Amino acid sequence: MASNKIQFRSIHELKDPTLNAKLAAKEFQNEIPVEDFLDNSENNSGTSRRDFLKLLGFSTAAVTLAACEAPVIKTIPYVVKPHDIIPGIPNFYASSYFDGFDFASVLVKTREGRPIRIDANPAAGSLGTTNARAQASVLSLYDNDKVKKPALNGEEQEDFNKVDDFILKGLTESQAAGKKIVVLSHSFPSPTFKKLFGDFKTKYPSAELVTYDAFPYAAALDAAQEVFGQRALPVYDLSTSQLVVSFNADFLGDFNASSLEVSYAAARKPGENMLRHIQVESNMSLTGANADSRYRLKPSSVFKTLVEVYNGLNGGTSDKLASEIVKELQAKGSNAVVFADGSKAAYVLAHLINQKLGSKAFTGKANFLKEYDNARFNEFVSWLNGGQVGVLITNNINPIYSHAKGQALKSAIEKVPYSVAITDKKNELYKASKAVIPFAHWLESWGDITPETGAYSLMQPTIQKIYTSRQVEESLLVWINGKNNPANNYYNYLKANALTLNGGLSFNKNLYNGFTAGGLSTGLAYSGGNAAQAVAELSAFKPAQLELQLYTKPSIGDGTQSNNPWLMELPDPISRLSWDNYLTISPKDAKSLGLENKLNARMQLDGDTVNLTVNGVTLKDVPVFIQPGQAEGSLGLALGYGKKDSGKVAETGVNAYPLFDGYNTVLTNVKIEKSGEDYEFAGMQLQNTLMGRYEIAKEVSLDDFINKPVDEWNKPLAMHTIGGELPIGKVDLWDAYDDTDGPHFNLSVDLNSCTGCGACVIACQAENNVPVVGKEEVRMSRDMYWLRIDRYYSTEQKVEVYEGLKEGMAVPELYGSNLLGIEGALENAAENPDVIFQPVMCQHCNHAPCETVCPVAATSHGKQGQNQMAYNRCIGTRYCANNCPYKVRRFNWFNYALNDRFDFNMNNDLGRMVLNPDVVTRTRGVMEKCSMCIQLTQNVILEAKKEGRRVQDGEFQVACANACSTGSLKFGDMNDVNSEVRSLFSSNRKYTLLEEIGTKPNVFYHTKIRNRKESLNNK
Amino acid sequence: MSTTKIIYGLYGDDDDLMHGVKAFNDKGIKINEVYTPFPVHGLDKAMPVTELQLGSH
Amino acid sequence: MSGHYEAPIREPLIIGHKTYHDITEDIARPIEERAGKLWWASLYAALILFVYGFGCIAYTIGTGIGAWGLNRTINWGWDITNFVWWVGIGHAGTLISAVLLLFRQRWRMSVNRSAEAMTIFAVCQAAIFPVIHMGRVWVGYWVFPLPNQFGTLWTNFNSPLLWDVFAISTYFSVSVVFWFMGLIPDFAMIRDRAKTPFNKKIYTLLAFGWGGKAKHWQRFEELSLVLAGLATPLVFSVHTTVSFDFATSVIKGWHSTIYPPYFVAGAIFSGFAMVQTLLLVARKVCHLEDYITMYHIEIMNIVIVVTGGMVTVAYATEYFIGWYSGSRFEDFTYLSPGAAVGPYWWAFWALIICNLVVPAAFWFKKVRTNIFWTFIIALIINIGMWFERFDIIVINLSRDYLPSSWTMFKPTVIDVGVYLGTIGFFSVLFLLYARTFPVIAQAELKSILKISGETYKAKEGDEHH
Repeated sequence: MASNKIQFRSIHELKDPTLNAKLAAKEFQNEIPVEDFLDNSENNSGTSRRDFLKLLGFSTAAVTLAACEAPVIKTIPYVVKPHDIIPGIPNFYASSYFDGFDFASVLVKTREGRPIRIDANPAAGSLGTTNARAQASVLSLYDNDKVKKPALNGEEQEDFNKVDDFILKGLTESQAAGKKIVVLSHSFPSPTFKKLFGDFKTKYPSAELVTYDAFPYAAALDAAQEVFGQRALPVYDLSTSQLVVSFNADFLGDFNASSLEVSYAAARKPGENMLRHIQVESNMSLTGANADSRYRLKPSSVFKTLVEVYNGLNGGTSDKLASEIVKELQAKGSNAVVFADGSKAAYVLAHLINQKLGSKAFTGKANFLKEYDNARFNEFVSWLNGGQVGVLITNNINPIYSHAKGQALKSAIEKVPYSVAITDKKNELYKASKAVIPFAHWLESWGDITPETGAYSLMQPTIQKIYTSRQVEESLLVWINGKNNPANNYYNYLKANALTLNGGLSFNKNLYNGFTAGGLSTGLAYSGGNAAQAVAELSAFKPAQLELQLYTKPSIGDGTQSNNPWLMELPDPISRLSWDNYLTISPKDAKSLGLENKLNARMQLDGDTVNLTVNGVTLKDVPVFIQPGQAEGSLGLALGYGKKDSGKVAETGVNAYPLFDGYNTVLTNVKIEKSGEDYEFAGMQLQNTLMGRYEIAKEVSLDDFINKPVDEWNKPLAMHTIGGELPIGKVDLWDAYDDTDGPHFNLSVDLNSCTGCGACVIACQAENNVPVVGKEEVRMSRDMYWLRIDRYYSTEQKVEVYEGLKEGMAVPELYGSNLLGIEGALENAAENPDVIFQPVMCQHCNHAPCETVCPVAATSHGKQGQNQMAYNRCIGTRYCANNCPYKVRRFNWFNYALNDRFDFNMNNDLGRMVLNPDVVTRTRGVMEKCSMCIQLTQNVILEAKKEGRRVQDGEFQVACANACSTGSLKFGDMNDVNSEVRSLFSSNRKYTLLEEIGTKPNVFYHTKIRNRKESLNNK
Repeated sequence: MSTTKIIYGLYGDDDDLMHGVKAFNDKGIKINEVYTPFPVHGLDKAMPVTELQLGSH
Repeated sequence: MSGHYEAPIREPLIIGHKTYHDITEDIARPIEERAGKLWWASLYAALILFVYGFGCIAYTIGTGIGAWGLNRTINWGWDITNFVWWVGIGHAGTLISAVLLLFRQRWRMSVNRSAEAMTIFAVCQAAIFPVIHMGRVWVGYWVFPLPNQFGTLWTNFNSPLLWDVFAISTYFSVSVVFWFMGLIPDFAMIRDRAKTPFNKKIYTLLAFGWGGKAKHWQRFEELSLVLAGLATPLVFSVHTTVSFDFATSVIKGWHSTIYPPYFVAGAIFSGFAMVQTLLLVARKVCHLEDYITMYHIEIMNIVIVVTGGMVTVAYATEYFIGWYSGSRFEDFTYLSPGAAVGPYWWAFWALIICNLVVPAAFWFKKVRTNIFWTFIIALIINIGMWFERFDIIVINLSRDYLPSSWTMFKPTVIDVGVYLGTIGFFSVLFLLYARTFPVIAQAELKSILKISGETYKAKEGDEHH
């Protein structure tokens, strides 16, 4: 029965039970009679005018408040703050960038536990330089199309449990059945991995390690085998060389598995002994673009010339070009070096020539980065087809995409009973394999690499694994020791092994340095090489009407990172086209084949497409790009594009790997037929020549540089005034700023050492959160780059005033209809132009045209010389951009972040993790541009303040100069009397861009020097 | 007692109007006001209208 | 009335044997009659354009300036082209009403009202573009030197864009005042004739209690003189300031010292062309042939020839100096061989033909006294002057200092839509005006009936023989 106790809350209530009711009644003295106001009864009595006003006021206020809704940003505080992380302070970790194609010893910049930029590791010298791909690889870590969970028989798993059971079962079974257990990986020069595989093999004796590379350097390694008796590439050092002759060898690009640009640039310091560079090639390569003398020959003729040069050095040659080259080689002797690419024989001959010359560039060191062995791989394929493979473990490769016989491999792999793909994309191999283990990005992995003789570099994770991924080493440990075994800790395993390799360094010290001497000691020495056979092979090489040479781009490389929007948008340094690969063809051939490139009404390129047939394999609708400098009878096509099922970005372009049969980069049985028109290219720069405005990108021959007075090749501008002739700097409308107090920043750009590689562009993009805009917008000429590398085709004879105009008329694609009928004043010259690269960023003018015209003073002059941009003051009239003579200002035409129209990294949570928290992302409608990385320089100043000291020279850094491995970009403080940039400022090669406008930039350039005797030019 | 007389004049043409105004002025008859549908030149002088202190022609 | 004597050889400004009452009737007719089918049709057409255009503006503001065809090199395109074009068109009105009043040009009386209306409506259109061309319209008010919460932030008085803000707003306000002041007696006339109480109320308000006293008239004329004095410098200041947007920059083809006079001449040139275009229609539709006579038309054509001549000289100077400088950077400015044969050759020749070649036909009396040809040529001049601004902005930007950044501009449908929208808006305003306002300053006109009316001239002619 219910109790009838009285519950009272106070003694007063006990006395008077109605108290509550009374109080309640009093509580809201005159409550707003909302009800009888709102119900539409005739006599809504209680509602007074004031009530109405109250309601009105309340609702208005409510609506107003509701209207201004602030964006919700989730922030999660540290429950326990890691002792080594201070929010707002970046941490740097030394590590190794290695993705199977590239290697670099790097410093990883992390903020609050997120890697956000890759820096060079100065300790590692030439191995510690970062190219565009290394810089961009941090974005690949945050690739939203990554495989996020392990999978078994097509269904995703939360953890590795079932997957491991499956594989362990497979391993024991096939071990019992005596079937092969194959680990198929890209080249993996990691001693600890090798050791680990050794353990794996002792556990499963039938285990085999097979190397597969998409771009395998097969010919080079075979040649090395023959000449040095070792499957390792020779390491070259050009820093003391005075002559380099390259036959189709892109040694600033992918040749020899590592770029030579550092020593190349070092050797090209202007002066008596400046390195002279002769390039004999078919495609217009990045290396060829930097050459002093470049000869366009189709691949077969390049081989012939190489043979002639060899003969010339041993006896004599009748060939004109060859004998000229021989003369130079003999003159330079051991200071000369020869590179060749394209076939094994070519490599062999080049080695033998260097041996004969006693070339000092040959260091005797070995480069271990490439391990592919064709015989070995074919053996594996035979196992595969013979059904002898019980377990197939693939590590971060996709032969189905990148092998010429991919489809055949696919069906074979599907037959393997236990196939495991360690992969980062849901690609063909993912689908073909039974089990899938998400690939751990190098920024999530432990490891070590021995890139070359006497070099040892550690790899350490800089972020907790983002998804349920596992690197191959960890997997192997599990499969050796079984699940949940405390020994399954690759860190300990690596630590133990590293101590045997890093020359007695403590592991932590080693980690701290990242790079150290040690590793493998084996070097290379000439021990053989069958010249006669090589000569015979090359002489027997049949020339063809059209010869195709496959190449890799500085941006995409072999395609490992082709889903990286930064790299995909990075324009090709030569063609300046982004978001595409294409068939390059010489203007003459294009004309004879009736292939065209036209400019549309927005001055963007429309090209014809062709069906390309090579040895019976046909690629449909390959866009054709007419490339000045391309050798007649030769075609070029870049590998690494057109990946399916690997993300939207990776699908760009055509996949050229099906043509890459037998890993011959040179293919002769080539047919093309026009298949379509108006393929839409997205070009960054469509005007290729300087239009006679040579003062923009100055160059001078070495002879003139040495022998002639400065006034003849770099005359400072002067202005005729009533007070006589005055230097341009003295004639001025404005008062000078006082820049004496505190630092005054200047940036020096040396056109002589800029190779156009594009690393600075990506570095800038990463540091400053520069958005990717996509092909359509690039085609609207709306790229957002703060730093661009202009490329100009120059010609021999300087064109006089108004010839510049003719040039314009003459470039056929510039003017659809050539109204004046002036036929190619430039055309003939343009078939083999000199190329000059010019990085252009905001010039930070002391008297900036942009500053005067902004109606709201959103852009103004900084105390330290920067021209500063206040985004949140900008109202977007774009007047500043119009009035900028350098056109370096970029307008946010749309919202590039959080906008489905621009579905790149800034449109998903994962991708946004790469953003640099020190730099705001700009919204629609504001102008942006290079800030001279003010966030970095201010940080340096504050650090120095805290420590109460002057800032040392070299402390001030900007992203682009940081990334520049050739030292073309130098940044520093002009008020520091012994700063490097200040000494550069007084160089006689120094000039400022468009000096006559009187903008007084804080960026200055250095004239390019061409080391060339005119007699050598076959133009 | 006042013997003030008021004359209303109605003119169909601006020239006649001007003659009228002159005639009245000559006879010393005070003109109170003249209404016209468009500016009649010289009327302001003839009446005369007090000058506007903006300096005039 | 010697001061008002006019030589009989001068052509009459009012033809047909008009009495004062006839004038009243003629002017009031369009307002008091019911609108014709033609008027309604054109109003609907204009409204459609107007609505479409503002849809495009809304879209632009909603998605971003990327909706237009602009790019990193050409940051202004049709937006500023249209702005300058509309402002230019405005000029004739003020010139006619202010300058010609000071010069006592009687022929202005039958055209100034409409010319001024056109001025004001054109400036309204012009004002739209600087606003919507901003990337962030919602903070556009920052261009005004307001006391603000941004600490010491203040506008940048070095910026020609800021000068524009002041120039345009001053010009607009003065024009409006001047125009309305002139309307008052005519509103009063309509008021006194109004039959429906509604009309009476409206026109009573507009008439500001006008009584037509001698004193009123005297004040009225004083004030028009003063305002004319104020407005006259504006005729020259506004387009001078607009030209500074370009002249003070460092861009080749923009950075030109002759821009101010050249722009003013061009503005009057295009302004009169637009007046012709509108009046030739208005005079037909509202049956005002007797007031806007062939004489008026011819005089305005002569003004066009003169200003057109100035423009021609300016073009020639630009072209010559560019070539004479010998600077390769001048090879591709909007008046250069590079432009003549370059990818924008069509724009270049459109400019030359429409602004130099065609208007030259007005040197011949036959042409300049021919209604049809006057109308056609006026239209062509309007097109030509649009191209002038397009060439100055787009061609010069598309071929600027560093060849690497050369691009070209192609408008999007949105660009076109916005432009058509303003034309629609303009027409709507003008059509409404033509139906509700006295399109001719009848009061002023009556004051000269005796001087240059046909009848009276004939009389005087007899007396003098």
